[in-house]
Amino acid sequence: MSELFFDPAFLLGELGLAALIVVLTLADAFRKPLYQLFNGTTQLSELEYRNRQAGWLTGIGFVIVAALFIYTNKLTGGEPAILLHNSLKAGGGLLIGKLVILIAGILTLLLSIRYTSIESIPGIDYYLLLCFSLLGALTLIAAENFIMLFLALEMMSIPIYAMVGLKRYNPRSDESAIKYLLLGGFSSGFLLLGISFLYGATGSLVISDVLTSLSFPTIELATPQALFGALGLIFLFIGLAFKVSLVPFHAWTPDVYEGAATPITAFMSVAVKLSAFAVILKIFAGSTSFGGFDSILVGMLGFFALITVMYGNSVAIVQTNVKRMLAYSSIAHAGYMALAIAPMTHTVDAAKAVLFYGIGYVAMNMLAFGVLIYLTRQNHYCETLDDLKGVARKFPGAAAMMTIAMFSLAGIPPAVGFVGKIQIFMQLINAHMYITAVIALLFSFVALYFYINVLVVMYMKEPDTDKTIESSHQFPVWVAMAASALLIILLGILPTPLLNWSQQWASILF
Amino acid sequence: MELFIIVLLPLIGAVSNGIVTVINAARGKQVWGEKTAGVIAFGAVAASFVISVYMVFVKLAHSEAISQTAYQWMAVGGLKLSITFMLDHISAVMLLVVTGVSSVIHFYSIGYIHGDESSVRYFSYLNLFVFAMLLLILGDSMPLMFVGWEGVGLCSYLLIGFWYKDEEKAIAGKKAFIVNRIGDFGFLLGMFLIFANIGSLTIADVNHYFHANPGMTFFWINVTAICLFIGATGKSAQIPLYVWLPDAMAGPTPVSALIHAATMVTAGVYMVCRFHGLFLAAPIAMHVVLWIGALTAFFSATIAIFQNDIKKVLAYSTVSQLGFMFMAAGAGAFAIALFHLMTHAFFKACLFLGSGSVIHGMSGEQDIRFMGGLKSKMPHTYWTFLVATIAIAGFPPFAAFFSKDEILWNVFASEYGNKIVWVIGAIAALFTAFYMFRLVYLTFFGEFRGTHEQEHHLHESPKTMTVPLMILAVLSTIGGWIGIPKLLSLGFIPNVLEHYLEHAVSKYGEVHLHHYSHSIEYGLMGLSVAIAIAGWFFAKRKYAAIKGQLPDPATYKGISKLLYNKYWIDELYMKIVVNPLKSLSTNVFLNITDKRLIDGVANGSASSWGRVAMMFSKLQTGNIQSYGFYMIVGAALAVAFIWIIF
Amino acid sequence: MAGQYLPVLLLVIIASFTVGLILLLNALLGPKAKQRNDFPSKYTPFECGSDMLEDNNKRVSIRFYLIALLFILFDLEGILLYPWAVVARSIGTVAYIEILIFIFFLAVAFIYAWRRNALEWR
Repeated sequence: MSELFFDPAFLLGELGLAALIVVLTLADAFRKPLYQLFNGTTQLSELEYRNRQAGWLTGIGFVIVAALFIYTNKLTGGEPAILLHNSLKAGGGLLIGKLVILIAGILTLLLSIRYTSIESIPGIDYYLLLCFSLLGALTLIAAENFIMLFLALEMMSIPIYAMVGLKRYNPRSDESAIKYLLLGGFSSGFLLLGISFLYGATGSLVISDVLTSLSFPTIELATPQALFGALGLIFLFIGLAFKVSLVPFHAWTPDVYEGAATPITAFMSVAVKLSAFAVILKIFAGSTSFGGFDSILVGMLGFFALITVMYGNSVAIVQTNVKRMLAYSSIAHAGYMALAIAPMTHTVDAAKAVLFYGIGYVAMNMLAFGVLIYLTRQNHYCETLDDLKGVARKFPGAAAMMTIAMFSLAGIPPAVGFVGKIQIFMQLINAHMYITAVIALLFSFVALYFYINVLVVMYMKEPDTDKTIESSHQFPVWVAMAASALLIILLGILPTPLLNWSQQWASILF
Repeated sequence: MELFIIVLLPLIGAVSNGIVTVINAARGKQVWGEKTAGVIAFGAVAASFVISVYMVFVKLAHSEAISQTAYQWMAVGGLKLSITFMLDHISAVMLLVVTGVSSVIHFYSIGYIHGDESSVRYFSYLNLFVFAMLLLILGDSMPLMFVGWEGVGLCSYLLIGFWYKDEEKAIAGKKAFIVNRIGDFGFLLGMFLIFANIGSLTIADVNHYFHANPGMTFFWINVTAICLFIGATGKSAQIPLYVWLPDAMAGPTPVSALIHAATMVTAGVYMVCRFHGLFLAAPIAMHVVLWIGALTAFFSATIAIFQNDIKKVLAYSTVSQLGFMFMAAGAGAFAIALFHLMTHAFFKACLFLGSGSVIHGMSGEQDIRFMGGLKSKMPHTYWTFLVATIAIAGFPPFAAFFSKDEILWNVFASEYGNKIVWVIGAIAALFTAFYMFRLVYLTFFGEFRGTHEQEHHLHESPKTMTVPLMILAVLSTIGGWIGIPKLLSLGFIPNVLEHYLEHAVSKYGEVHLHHYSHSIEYGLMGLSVAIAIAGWFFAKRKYAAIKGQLPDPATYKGISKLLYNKYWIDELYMKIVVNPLKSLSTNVFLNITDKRLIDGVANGSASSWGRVAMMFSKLQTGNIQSYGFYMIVGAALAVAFIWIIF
Repeated sequence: MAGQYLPVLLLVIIASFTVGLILLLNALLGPKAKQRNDFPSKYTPFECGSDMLEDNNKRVSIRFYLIALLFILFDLEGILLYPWAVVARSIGTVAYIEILIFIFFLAVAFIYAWRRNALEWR
């Protein structure tokens, strides 16, 4: 791995995204003249027109950025490098992670185009914030020192705080934005505290240096260095656990997921979670074994992951709001992912399992939320189980998509969720954590109940209100749903390519 | 790659038609109708056929087998499964028969299903069936084969119950499925036994293992082979599991032709041939196969004599002919079994499609007592039906003469053969000729015995139905010529089929024929011809000049009553298997185990767990202070873990 | 090492002791209010000094927040130019290009704020 100061070839995608942000900003600044220039003949309202324009502009931008990522791979020959004085890693397997996050962004965009108009959300603000958040996530997974890590984490989170509150006329949305902001600030405090402890203990902010000096026998037990090192790691973990919503740092999740615009919820639940997990993997499950600290981390991670799985899956049972149910399900899934690293084997296999699960989770959660968005009509929300009653009659396609999503979330073959769960449980079994594995498995049976319940409601209940309203411009949503569904099934039957990709991504963390 | 495409094309057809079925049903409007659906379905299968021909005659011409791996399916412990397709000379024969006959029948279906409201669904099922069948044929490992094996069973169920609104048809579908499942259980057991002993499930490994050095004891080898054969009896409708096939005639006629005559039911025969390495190592199992085949051939032939439903006659005839194939396999003549499988596919498909044409012309009437004299009204159907009948009866030089004669000769002369079985087979052949000509005479000769209404509507079927009939009639005529025995070859006509399959079926052990003089061989051949002629003669004497109405089956006495009621086997099964099981299920499993025990535990735990969850969800106060407090508690807990080492 | 922190511990102990003592004395010696009107000054913010002229719980116009936000953002970003100016010469051309990019982004943000009427008082 070469160390460079700066080479634009490695950061083409990020630079492209930054350029897109500039373009979007300027396009919004001059939206009035542009509107008058192009909208001579269409009958759309100004908001709807602008939303659609902005959507297309962002979409084209994202596709170009994706192309740039692929081109970067060609340009750099798939060799990773470390840039900007140990600040960023770039290239190599990391590109896979970046592409996955970008694809999550593209899917979010497809789900948003119509939704923003329904909710009267000003589109370009929304897409701009999405771009910022994406840029943050892309930087986050590449961060090589703690300052960059913190910067990227905030760059990813702050736009999301704003996006959660974008349904400005909906008090729930405001409430959830404030909640997320305050608790997010709180968790950032933990994160910074952890970073400063680590700096104090090791005198460095470069992640790899910190990890090396924390590993035994570099560090001796029963010295203040070791104590603050351990505390630093723990606080760092708390800060990140908030982002991936492990119990008991999860409490914001259901409220925020419910209050936010559904595409944002989808984005939060996949992109934020995946990139935060990439960071967790990098710090806690990387190649550096912490020796004595490992036993702390095994206990802590195992404990939090297990109660997360138990709590998430249990509470999801009694939810009547599908978005809340999916929030608890996302908590539970975070628990499963954390379980895979709980044995602290520091092997690439554990990281691979988590990343595989995370990538598969992108597809399935996007699909589940996509169906909810598809069924949302003007003045008619589709959020509760009652809203889903008898949906299969009128919208068999959407119901089939939901079936695929639920099967995958529940981990039923041949969906990708099944392969993911197997990977996770293999980690536990290989580490001889049988009791943990059995408990987690039991709770994934509990999970079956609420996933299947959605299907029962859709297929076997009579619709109680008239849900026959057709709506236009569903094409982007369909594209997103079809792509996710295809991925779920395809990767479930043919997991090998995705396993290879996660392996590549995982190996760059080491 | 090509093999992958062959298998995939019908799946694409099935999926696209399936999706359209769902959309059509939901939207109430047609995305595409039966025309497009038919063309897509036919096109997919025909393309498969074309590629198969290319593969077999070009690619396979100079090699023994082609194996193409699509991808690794799963790796669990020591079991590594990959989706690998293998084309060797055995599967090549089967592949051509299946894709070829399927193409013809898909084409026929376009005309047959015209006007049915769920025709798109029909084509979707039909394509799905072809997909599953191809999986079965080309799969190179037992699990893959089993997927196809179950898949064809499923499609058979779906298609028998295609008109599920008619309860009788739905029940027939269910019966077929359940009986098949019993057989599948045997297959699965065999598979487990093999895996437990060998640790590999690819066909080549299995055959090689049993051929080379059976580490298994003689007893277990035979048990394994018999388990597999039980699977075959289910799928191929042999004693004791043959009962589903006659009922399966409830499905649309092209389905009977395709699935229940030409292809699916022969899967059992194919499977036995596939695993001939195993069967040759299990002489007891070979005897079981031989005897079951012979008995099935004989009994179902006797039943066929007194059936009045045109399709039922053909169904029992199918069971009987499948018995012949198993006789061949049991005698170790696997090539001949495949030969008869192929010729049977041609003439039985032709007969079924012909019967479909007759039923179509008769406005749905299936009882031959009310037919007669159709010869002049439906000339194309008549001629093709007659050709196929002559073929099945075994007149030279039609197809079945060669294959059936070869079977009987092998049973007579093979080291696994048996003279008593030969006699049974010969009598069955006699019955075959008799009931087939009975069918022809009652249907096409004499005077019309149906209602005036039916007579008024009587018409020849459209071109889409008669053209496939002609194709199949031609094939029934010349199909046997690729397997002309040495004796009749006049020294220069090659026995193409035997030559082709020679290496593939003798790879894992030769079967020796006892030496007999040419005169005996000629004599037996002459006897075959004589049997066919005798069958025809008796049928003509009894039924050719029949006048007036035929007797009601209720008045049947003695042996005819026994045969008409199919030896009361169905009733027997009902009494000794189904009813006791039913009462056991309702009284013990449903009322006690399920309702009290399982539901009690499940519902109890679900509701009590719901209460716990309710309690947990109380934590979600919506109050941001309490959320912050949880985080503090969590942080305190996390920090507490430090005591592990400090 | 713990010995280093002994003064801190002592400070904590002394502080809590003092505070506790004062509170205790207050509770023991102070006059007790039977009802609300006995000591009206108890309900004023600081319990001492002159009475307040008006309630300080007043709303500030949201416009001030917008201006203040923009001010802080641009101010902080402007301040970055000072340390840059100190080292610009020693770093050379790279520094020049970098600060141009920075100013470009600043300008874009400024145009955005301006065009979105954020600078207007309305």
